[in-house]
Amino acid sequence: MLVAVPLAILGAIYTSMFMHPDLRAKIKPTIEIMAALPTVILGFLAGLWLAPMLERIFPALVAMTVAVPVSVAVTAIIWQYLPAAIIRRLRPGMESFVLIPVIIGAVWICLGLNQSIESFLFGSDYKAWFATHWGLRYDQRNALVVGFAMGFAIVPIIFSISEEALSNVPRHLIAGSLALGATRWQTLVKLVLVSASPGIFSALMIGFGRAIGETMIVLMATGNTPIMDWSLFNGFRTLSANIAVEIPEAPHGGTLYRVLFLAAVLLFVFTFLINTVAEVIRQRLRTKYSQY
Amino acid sequence: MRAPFKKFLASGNVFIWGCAAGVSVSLLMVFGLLLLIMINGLGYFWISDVAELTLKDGQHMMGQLAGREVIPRSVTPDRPEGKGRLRVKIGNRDLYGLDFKWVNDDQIVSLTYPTEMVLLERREWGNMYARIKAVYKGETLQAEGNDAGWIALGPLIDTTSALHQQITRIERVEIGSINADIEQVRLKIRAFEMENPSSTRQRGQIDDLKAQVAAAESRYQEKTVELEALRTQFDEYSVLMVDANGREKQIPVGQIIRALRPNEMNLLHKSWIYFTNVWSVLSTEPREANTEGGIFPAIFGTVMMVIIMSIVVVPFGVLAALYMREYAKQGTMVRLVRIAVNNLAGVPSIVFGVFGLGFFIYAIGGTLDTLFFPERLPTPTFGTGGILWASLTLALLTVPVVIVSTEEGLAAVPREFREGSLALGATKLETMLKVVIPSALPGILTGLILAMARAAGEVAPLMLTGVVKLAPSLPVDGSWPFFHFDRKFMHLGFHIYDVGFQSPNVEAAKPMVYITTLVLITVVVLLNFTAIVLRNHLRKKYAGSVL
Repeated sequence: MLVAVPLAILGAIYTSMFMHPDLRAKIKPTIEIMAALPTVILGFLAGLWLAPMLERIFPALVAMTVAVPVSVAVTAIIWQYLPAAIIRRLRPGMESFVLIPVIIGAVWICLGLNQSIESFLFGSDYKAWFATHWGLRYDQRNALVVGFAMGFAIVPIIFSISEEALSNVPRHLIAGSLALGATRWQTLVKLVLVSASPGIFSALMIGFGRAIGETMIVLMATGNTPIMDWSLFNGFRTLSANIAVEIPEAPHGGTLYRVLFLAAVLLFVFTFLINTVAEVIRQRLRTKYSQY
Repeated sequence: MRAPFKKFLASGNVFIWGCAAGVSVSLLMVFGLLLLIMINGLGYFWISDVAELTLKDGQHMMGQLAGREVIPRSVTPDRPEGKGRLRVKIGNRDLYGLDFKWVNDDQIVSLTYPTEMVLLERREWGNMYARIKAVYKGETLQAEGNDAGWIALGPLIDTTSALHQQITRIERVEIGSINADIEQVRLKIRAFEMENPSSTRQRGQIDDLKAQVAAAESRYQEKTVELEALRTQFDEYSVLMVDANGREKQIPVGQIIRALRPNEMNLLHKSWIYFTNVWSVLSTEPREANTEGGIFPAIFGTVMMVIIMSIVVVPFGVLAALYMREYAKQGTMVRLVRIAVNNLAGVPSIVFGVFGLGFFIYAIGGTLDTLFFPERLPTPTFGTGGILWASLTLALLTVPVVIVSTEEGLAAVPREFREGSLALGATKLETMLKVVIPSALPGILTGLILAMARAAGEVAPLMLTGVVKLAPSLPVDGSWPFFHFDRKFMHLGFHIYDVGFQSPNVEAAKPMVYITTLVLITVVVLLNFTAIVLRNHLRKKYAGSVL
């Protein structure tokens, strides 16, 4: 999930600021469709496909967290020194398409080197390494897997709300900044991000709200162990999954039934508060910019 | 070199690339996911050849090759790296107990595809890969040997599957309706008894009803006899199969759905089989704890639920939006309501499920039961999960979607339309019905479609309000009153959860899960796509006139 948040925000910034409008009209619906993917599908993939795969390629994953950003940076630098003729041929906003093969390549290399990375970083077996160095046990269905799947579920939400906030920043402010000689990046950091930050904040809140209440992914991808543990590699259980697991067995009116209802009320209050705050921020932002 | 590099950093272009990477990764994730599901789901229908393996220890194996991987170190720590192993679907679950087996590369002596291999799709125990040894009728031998047996088997399977259809029809429709009759009459008797058992008129009626029960029971007896006769006919033929190692197994022909010889098929024939497979999954009922067979009841349940939900949600959502946008004064109150509506969209679905369980099922359903169906208690009618309650719960869940997009649609209708209509002397209601709503129709439709897509994919609340693993009957059937809102139903999303995570044989169930996922995802993506196209159309249509 920590991966998902920057991913979504960066994506939104790029789409709203630097992408060609035609392209944007195609990208945005794609990501919105992603938002509509039933979470049960994500949960199933996380549980049945991702969890065993992650177990196998965990060392490669560690390498990917380094390799992907590095490969992107290297591409950017190389791009800088390419002859102008090639650069001019691409419309602005094509950067992300240039990057797709680069990222696939980086991921592929990491996967290929899985075994050697494992022996290089963790000795011969990463599970044994974790056990001896940090005293951790690696479950197949763990918080990491859930985090991935959950990231999948909330990226599109954060993306579309913060994209909206960013594109609501009045165009003439941006034009003014660029006219004064600021680069695109300076305009973004000093002007656009500052003005849109409440919107992005509310997007984050709504995303977290959804993550808190998400049931199916957690139900399917965690071990549903009621014992809590702070380790990333163990199973756990959330409020919502707890309700889903236990309420069919709770007799009407009994203690368990009441406790589970209390859990539902808690969830409700929690998300209600978060959403209200986010919504108020968003509305205030909207009225602020409609004056211009 | 130094200076330009510093300038490059200052210009921040590298960070722009970082942002671009965000988009790329998101796109890769979406398409990668769709591709993964497509490949896994569609690949299942293809019949691959049946291989025969000879192993070093003299053992033989038959099966379809299901993949290959490098042996992970966790399995064999002492083995040198780079060795591969094959995953073989050996089937014959009744003989071996497992469906899949790993075979290390270095153990295989030979791998051949003999043409006479037979693949049997069975009603129980999954696929069988074997050779035919003999075909029997009762105890007498009909045909012997693989080829003669193969020729004899074809027509036999046709007749038995016709018989099977007949048997299920009798079991389901005829005996089912008799049972329903008996149950109805029994309930009537119970109701009379509860009212006033002592009066003579009541007595007479009760006796009449009891006679009806007796008549129905005798009809039931007749049908059972008929069924018995069909069953013996059904079990008459059997086929003796022999597996790779010479183990024999006698299988009644009635157990076989289809016999194939994949190794002698050409591409065209295989493609034909592919399409029949797709069709049979979409149209038949599940077998073997949902891990095989079709998903028709799940599709039907999902569609049915979505339709009921739409019938409920559209009037509510549209009226609410109309009031908020057209009639209500835009003040703090409306603003609060709007925030509340948006909030409702953000409330976790499981909370709606709990609400549905507590309010609809226990409160409303329980009251309905005590008021209208007292004779059925303590067996609940509406006091338990059912398709009606599930649909209502989902309607609550999706109302905000409809409200928001209807409002959007209404807001996009240009002021001039309204003013023009009012100026021509139309009343406010006429303006609303003849001008505003037709223009806002795409917005309303978008809302409805999005709501349907959301409802089709939602699982958590349904688990509490009436979805089951295996519904004995569809919510719509031939017995009165045709729509049974109190029945439990099956749902695609829950099917995924159930088959993937609660079935005893996860490995064998995986293809089924992928197929269900594929169907669900196709439905949801198509619905969303339609909604997006409609929305863009709406925007374009009024873009010129909104000033």
